[in-house]
Amino acid sequence: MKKLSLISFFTFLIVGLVVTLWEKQPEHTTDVKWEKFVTDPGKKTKVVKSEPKNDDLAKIDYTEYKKKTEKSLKKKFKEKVKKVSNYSRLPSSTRAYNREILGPNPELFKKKKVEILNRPKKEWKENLAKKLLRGRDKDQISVFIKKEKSLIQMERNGARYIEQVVVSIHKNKTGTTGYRAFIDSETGKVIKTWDRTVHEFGPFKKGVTVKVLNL
Amino acid sequence: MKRGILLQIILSSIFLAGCLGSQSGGKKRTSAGVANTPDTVSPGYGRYLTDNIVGLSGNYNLDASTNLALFLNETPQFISNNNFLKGSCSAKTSTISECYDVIKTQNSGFTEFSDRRFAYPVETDEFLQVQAFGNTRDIVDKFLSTQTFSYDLGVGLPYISSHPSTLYTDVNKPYFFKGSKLTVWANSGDENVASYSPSSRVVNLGYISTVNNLFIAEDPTVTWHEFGHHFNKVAMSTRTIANSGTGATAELGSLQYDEAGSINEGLADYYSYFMNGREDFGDWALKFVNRARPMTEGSTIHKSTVSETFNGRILYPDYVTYEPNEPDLLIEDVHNTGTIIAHFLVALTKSIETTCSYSNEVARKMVIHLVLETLGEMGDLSAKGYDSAIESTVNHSATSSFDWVTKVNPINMRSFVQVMSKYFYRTLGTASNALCAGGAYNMDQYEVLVDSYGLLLFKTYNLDGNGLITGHLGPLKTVTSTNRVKSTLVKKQFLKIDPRENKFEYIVTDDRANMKAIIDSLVDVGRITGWSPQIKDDLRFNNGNARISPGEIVGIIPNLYNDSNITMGGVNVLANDWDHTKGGKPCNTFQDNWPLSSEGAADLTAGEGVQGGCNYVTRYNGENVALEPNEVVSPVCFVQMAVDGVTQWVTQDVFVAARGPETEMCLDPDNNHRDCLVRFIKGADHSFYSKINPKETWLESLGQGEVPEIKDSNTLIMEASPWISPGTKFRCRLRARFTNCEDCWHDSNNSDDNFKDYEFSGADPYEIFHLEFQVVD
Repeated sequence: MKKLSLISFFTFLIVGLVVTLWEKQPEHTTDVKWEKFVTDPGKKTKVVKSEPKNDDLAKIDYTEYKKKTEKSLKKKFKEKVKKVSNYSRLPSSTRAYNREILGPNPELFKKKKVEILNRPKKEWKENLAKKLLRGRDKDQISVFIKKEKSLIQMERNGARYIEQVVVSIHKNKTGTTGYRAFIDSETGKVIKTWDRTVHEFGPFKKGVTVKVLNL
Repeated sequence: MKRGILLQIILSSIFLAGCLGSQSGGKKRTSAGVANTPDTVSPGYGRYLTDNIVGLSGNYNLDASTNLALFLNETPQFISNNNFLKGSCSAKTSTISECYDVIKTQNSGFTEFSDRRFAYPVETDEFLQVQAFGNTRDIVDKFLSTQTFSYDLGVGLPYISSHPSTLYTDVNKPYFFKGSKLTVWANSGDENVASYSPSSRVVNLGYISTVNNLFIAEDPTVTWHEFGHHFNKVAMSTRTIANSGTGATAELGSLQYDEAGSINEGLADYYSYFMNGREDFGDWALKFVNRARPMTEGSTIHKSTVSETFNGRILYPDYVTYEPNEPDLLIEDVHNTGTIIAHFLVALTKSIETTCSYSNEVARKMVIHLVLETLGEMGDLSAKGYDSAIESTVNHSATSSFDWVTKVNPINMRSFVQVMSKYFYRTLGTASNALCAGGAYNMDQYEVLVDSYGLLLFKTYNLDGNGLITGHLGPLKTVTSTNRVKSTLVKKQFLKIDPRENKFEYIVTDDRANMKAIIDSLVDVGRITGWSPQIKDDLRFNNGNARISPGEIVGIIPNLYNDSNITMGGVNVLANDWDHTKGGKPCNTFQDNWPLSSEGAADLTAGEGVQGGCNYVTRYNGENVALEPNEVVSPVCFVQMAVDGVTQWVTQDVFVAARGPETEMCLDPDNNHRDCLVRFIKGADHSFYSKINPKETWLESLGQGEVPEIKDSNTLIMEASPWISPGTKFRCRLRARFTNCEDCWHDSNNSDDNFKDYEFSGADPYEIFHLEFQVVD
């Protein structure tokens, strides 16, 4: 009887531990950190990640910065995750591996009746930065990336692991612009963008002149 | 006596100098007028301008050094019970405790207002922050109360409302874009910048560099305009967010220039009018850069030929490039085109006011109600449009809705006004609702007003939407055709690639610097998702010979020509995938009758009338493998290949399977080999042109000379694989339409009801153009 109690106790303990760890998986959370990427000096194709200074953070999202300095980050962040993830509202068929599933027939993913189109890699963010900084000179722009959540997108030919991020582009002298995007969790490829900045006037408005020639 | 007059002049000069102040040093003004210091107010109070000083003074000619303090109200206004400029929102029973806040700039912390006193001299940063906060609070409160008013109308009246029933109860707070807090930078330090960023949730108010560093936050109308963009985003997203807290929300405008973006600007202007009924926008801060915008034809900013009469209105599409401050110029810009919408809405407001015996204030609320209903439906990415609808009632399907809203069947002047007119008819236009002087607003009167702006471009009110199942179920409410006097419709066949002798068909630009600038700009704003790894980072193969060569990224601008006698507006060319192939061969069942069977056309002797056939348009844009396993949408470009000694056109995957290169050398080596050799970059696979005058090209209509200035929204961008053998021939089948097109949106086989959404995957709603080229080394 004692043994049975001990076994039950440890079973509950282990199950509790697993559930806790599961809930703490990075996919479940929203990144609080912005990561800054610039072109590596002298190498146009390589990007370097630099720790954003306080000013950089504030440039992007003062709220997060403020929360940090107020030392109330942990509590508020937990609440935010709860709000953003909103898992309690989702039927179980629309999430897997702590990722919400977007698109038609999410149950196919759970039943493993769908081809998986990619495998998440931890370098996805660097790969994304490389794409955004591709062909750019040093100091021309800085790219800030903040992950919001991890998801699974059902597509015509299968399921794709994706990340939802906010991208902010800082250009010298011409201000900032930004957008929200879905990113391939393996390659860092941008799949879709939205929530783009609307300018009354400002950056990125000038056209280019071209010569008219017959094709 | 003379001495007395002289003394009077001197004293008057001193007094005036004190009043008007000076701006030596740019940002400093002499304090005069109301003494605005903390000791003059009680805790919680301060002072700010409730309109810009042109509005408050009635004097458009105030110069930049005018002292703002002259126009402050002596009586303090309540600001906050907080030491910081933070605001909460509430609507119905829902509250957002951190709804908005104001800081100086992106690098600053919150300014602490000790003892909660918010009165500061006008030359201080504190004043600018209080100014921005007061204006923000006023418009947010007013918007939320109007949104509630609109929601209540939807609940209380027996019409189909687009508001989600869970607008105020959903945990994601769709009534304020997920309840996300907005931060205003009252003095960002950015030169000539006023912007709204939904991703970082920031309204950025910079300064005007041309006149003594005038701060944009001084002009509430600009702050209200930027918040107008936020409210447009809110309205476009309510149904999407209420349906799911995750994923994309719809955009109102996706190109540097398009009509959706113009509508976004026009509506944002209207939000300035919404606040106080004043009919000019930006007439303080923006007038110094020639950007103030009127909202009625009666404004002094307009040229003299414009007036508030049936014939004096600013007419679509003739006025889409009209810049009131510089009327002799032709400028393709969303702000200029948007003024047509702002003018129309203000005219509608005044008409509702007089016809329905409302106050102007209530009439403005009523117009915003119509706007909220309209955008709520049009932005619904769950593809329903209203709560009880089935999916695919609007915006094609939940899978494809984002592409439909932004590209395939995008919001334009016609669709926006059509949907708004539907809600007008269902509310003010329905007698049983008794919303207009106890009865209905006469729909003929309404149509005449819409027509006076050239916007009566629809033949029915499309009450049943564009849905696959429900799109033609009716009822059919038609427009009285005799009310269409100034609005003009043109058959699509009159849109052509310039057919005149010795004229060019397409502009091809492959200049390295030009293309790099365009590509960088598009990547920065997130319009394109990058370019092929097969193309060199520095575009080194771009040789500037205005031809398409291996390894290049090129810009392509069709030389569009209007062969009719009526101006065309909102011309849009698509180079995205569509349903025009069968078994790897091009269908020749469309208006272009291309290619001949001998040139490789798909076999029509079998498999027609069913999925996969040339005369069957995919209902699901090729996305639904379960229901349409044989349907795909194909890239626009075919390639020429010799098959059994006969030259034929085939799809690129057929070519690649027969001739190579290896699939890992395709433009997209990872996934898609169907556009292995040439492709239009997603996001830059559609282009937009504001208007084309009769018997002119777009370039001629904009007064462009031999070296035209091209915006990225005018340019289709194509990648050519470095592995293409020189001499290889391609032909791309592009589709085009325009806003005031008679047969691009109306289905004549169904009583001129709108085409169903799925039909935009096919050929019927478009004019087809061919781009044929040979790749040269």
